[in-house]
Formats: sequence, C-alpha cells, structure tokens
Amino acid sequence: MAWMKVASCDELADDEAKSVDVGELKLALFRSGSNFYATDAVCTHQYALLSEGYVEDGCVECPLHQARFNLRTGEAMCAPATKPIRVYPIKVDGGDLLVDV
Amino acid sequence: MEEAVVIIGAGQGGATVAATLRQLGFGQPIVLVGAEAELPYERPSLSKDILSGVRSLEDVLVQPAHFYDEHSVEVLLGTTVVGIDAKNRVVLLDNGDKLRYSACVLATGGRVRQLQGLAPSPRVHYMRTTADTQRLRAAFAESKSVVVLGAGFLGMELASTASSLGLEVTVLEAAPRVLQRSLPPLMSQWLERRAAASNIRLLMNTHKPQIDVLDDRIQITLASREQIIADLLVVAVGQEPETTIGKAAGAAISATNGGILVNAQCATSIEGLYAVGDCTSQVGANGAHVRLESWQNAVEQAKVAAAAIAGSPQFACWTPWFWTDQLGCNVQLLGNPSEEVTWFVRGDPDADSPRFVIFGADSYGNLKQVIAVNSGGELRTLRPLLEQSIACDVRALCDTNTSLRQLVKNLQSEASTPTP
Repeated sequence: MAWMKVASCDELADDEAKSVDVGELKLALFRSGSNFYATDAVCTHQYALLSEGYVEDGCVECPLHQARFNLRTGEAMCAPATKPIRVYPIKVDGGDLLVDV
Repeated sequence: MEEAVVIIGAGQGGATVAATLRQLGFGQPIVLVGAEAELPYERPSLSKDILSGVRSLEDVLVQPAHFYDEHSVEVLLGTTVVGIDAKNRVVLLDNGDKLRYSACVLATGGRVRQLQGLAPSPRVHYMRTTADTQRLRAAFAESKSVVVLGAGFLGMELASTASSLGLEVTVLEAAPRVLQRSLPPLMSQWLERRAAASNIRLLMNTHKPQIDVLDDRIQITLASREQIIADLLVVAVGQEPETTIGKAAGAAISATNGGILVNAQCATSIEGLYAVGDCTSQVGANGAHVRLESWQNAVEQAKVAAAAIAGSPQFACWTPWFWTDQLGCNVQLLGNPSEEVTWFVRGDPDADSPRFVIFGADSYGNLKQVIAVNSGGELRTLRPLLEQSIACDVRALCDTNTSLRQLVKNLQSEASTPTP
C-alpha cells in the first residue's frame, strides 16, 4: 500500500478531470457525482489524455474518438476502445485526495 | 449446414455487426467474409499513423485478434463473395463454397475513384487498404517529392503525413478552397495557413491538369503552363459505394448517390438482406437520399442492423460526427455544414499549439455545426445543444474564462425548467 496525496478535493468540480504526475506514473483524476476516481492518464486506443475528456455518470469519454471507460472498473464501454484502462484505489482524507500506487 | 448470419465485408461495419450481435446475446452462427487478407482494422488510421509508421496494423484492429474465436465468429479472409441468391438465402463464394443465411449484411464499403487514362505505374498510388498504405510507405522512403490530387479529408491527411516524413508536397484541387464541402471558409483558410507553414504547396482552382506518368518522374502541366515534377502521384478524389453484389442480387440502389437503399433498420429492399456503412444510402431530413462516409456512420448503422437481426429493433438517430488528424492537429466536426449560420470563435486559432472551437449558429442561437481543434472534450460537451436544439447566447460560449461544461449544464437545466 502506498497512498500518495495527489490533489485536494476542491481542485475538482463535478464532472471535471485533471492530470497529475505521481513519480513516473501519469494519472488522471476525476470527480463524477459524489465520487472520485483515478486512472492511467492515456487512452488505451490511441494517445490522448483522458483528463481532457468528457466526464459523466461515472464514465469518461476520450477526447479523440469518444471511447468511453467506466471510471470505477476501467472497463472499455464502447468502440473504438477494446482494452480497459488501469484504475487505482482512491480515497478522501480530510480535504485531500490520496491514490494507492 | 446450420444457417448463419453472413456478413459480407470485414471492415469497421462488418466487425461491429458481429460484435453487437454477440453483445445482444445472439447465439446463432455468424460468418464474417472479407476480401482483404487482414482482420478488420480501423481504416482512418491508414493515412495517419500507419502511413507514418508510428503504429502497426495490430494496434488498430477493430477487435483484438482473439475476439473472433472467443465469440464464435467465423472469419473468412481473402475471400470474395461472387453472388447472393436472395430467394434461397445463399451467399456464393469465389472458392465455390455456399453459405446459407438467416440474415445477410452487406458491409462492402467503397471503391476508390480512379483517374481515367493514367497508365498503371509504381509512381501512381491510391489509398483504400492497408496493402495500398504499405506500398505508399515504401515508395515514400525512396522519394523526395509527391503530388497529391485532391484536397478533401484523405488528400489533406496524406499531404500532411508526407510532409511530416520530409517529402516536398504539392496538393492540386479543383475547388477554390480545401475541404469545401465540409468546412466553412474560415476553417479552410485556417488549414491553408497551416499547410503553408508546413511547406505544403496548395494549388486550388486546378481543373484537369495534364498528368504525364514517365519512367523516372511524374510530370504535371497546369493551365498556366507551369510544370510540376515529382517522384510520386497520390490520387485522392473520392470513392464510389461498392454495391456490385447487392445490385446483382436485386437490392434497390439510390439514383441520387449510387448507394444501396436502406430504411431506418438498415434493411434493404430485399427481405433478409441488410446493408451498413459507406455502401449505403439512407433517408435524411426531408426524405433526401444521404450517403455518409464516416467511421461513426459505419458503427452506428452496424449497431442498428444487429439489433434488427437479433429481434430487438432500435430507432437510433445520431448527430453526424467526424474527425481528421492533419497538420499536427485533431479537428472534429459535429453537425452538418450549413450556409445559413454565423460563425463564432472560442479560443485562439493562431496560437502555436492551437486549441479552439468554432460555432456555427443560426439567428435563434441554435448551433448547427461545431468544429473543435485539439478540443474534442469540449465538442462532446456541446453535443446536447445540437441534439436537443437548445438555443443559447453564442457569444457567451466564446468566453474562455467560463467553463463550457458549466454553461451547457446551465442551459440544459433552463431548457428543462417549465416556463411559468
């Protein structure tokens, strides 16, 4: 278990995303509804930053070709993505967001 | 032999029909027949990363290679269908085999339009398949200069990739501006500026140049008598729908655009025969015959056809969406080109790394077409405004200090609040 603080909660409004570097990992953080999520930053279909994508209902759509991923499980929900993205455990501690890398 | 769903054409549409059928729990046999030697792959990549060598075909398969066995989809590659006996529901293959079908889907795509009167030569290239792309890639490696005929999406992407590989590029186009059918003038001009900055020479208003294919070069003589010499010629002047098999089987064809006529369920005029993708003509607004050549159309029609075949027909409609990657930028289009709009700009088109959105709105503030450069997420954010015809103060959308997502959420909430 290696919980790292990656951001504070109030950096993310609802249906917003941002990218953060954690050591050598590039992650994308999301808030959707009352939940926070953390995934690998790059779409599995083609190089694009998911933090620049469209967030809704616990899913993100990649800005390049609208491949949709479930933020909780990482599952690829629609074409053109077929491979899931990696997701990371995330928790709120006080006003901080911590991710287990 | 048990009856199967036979899909003719192993491209984006064909592969999506198969995958959707299985997703819907359809359990009968499925046979996917393709003339090319490769598993279904995403064709848009050919003029971009595949041509430049950044990615390989394995990176752009529609479904991973193991998908077909895993989902009991039989795939016959390098196999051409020679006919359909629609009365007896049999598909005839070039190897003499016959496939009995419960339903058959034509996903045959398109055929490149060839230039008449050009002698075949290794200096002349067209692009439709991965084989074409590999040939062109090899030719690029031995060449210093290329002329691209056609400044549509494919021509511009080919020019862009060639330029990024260090070739000297000249583009010839009959229309007065690039991508005239798809873009407003301000976007054509923006692309033309970027092309010039990449040292791509654009010659618009060039009608029927004289093209001489010689052993050691391509020689083009313009109306001005100027001669252009290059190592290669790439022709990108569009495609015709591939309808040979469907037509021979008796399916009705659009007199307007040559596509196989389909209804809202992607059914053709022949019972048991469906069609999806580039080969079709569908009924648009006002009953017009419309042919859409896009990745989205292939995928969405494939899903509709699969649902109909699986016995749970859907009524889907989608806002046309298209992307092109050229001159270092991702450009996405949403909606339909329209003459009767005013254009507004959010962001700075002339920044070094441009990220901007332009909105084409009618006089009521309804967005008709939106074009986003390196801002696909913003385009997606705006989609409800087009889909639900939500009028807005377009100037407010242009304020880069406000979040587009928040603006759209507010507009959607206002639109759904009953007026007192």
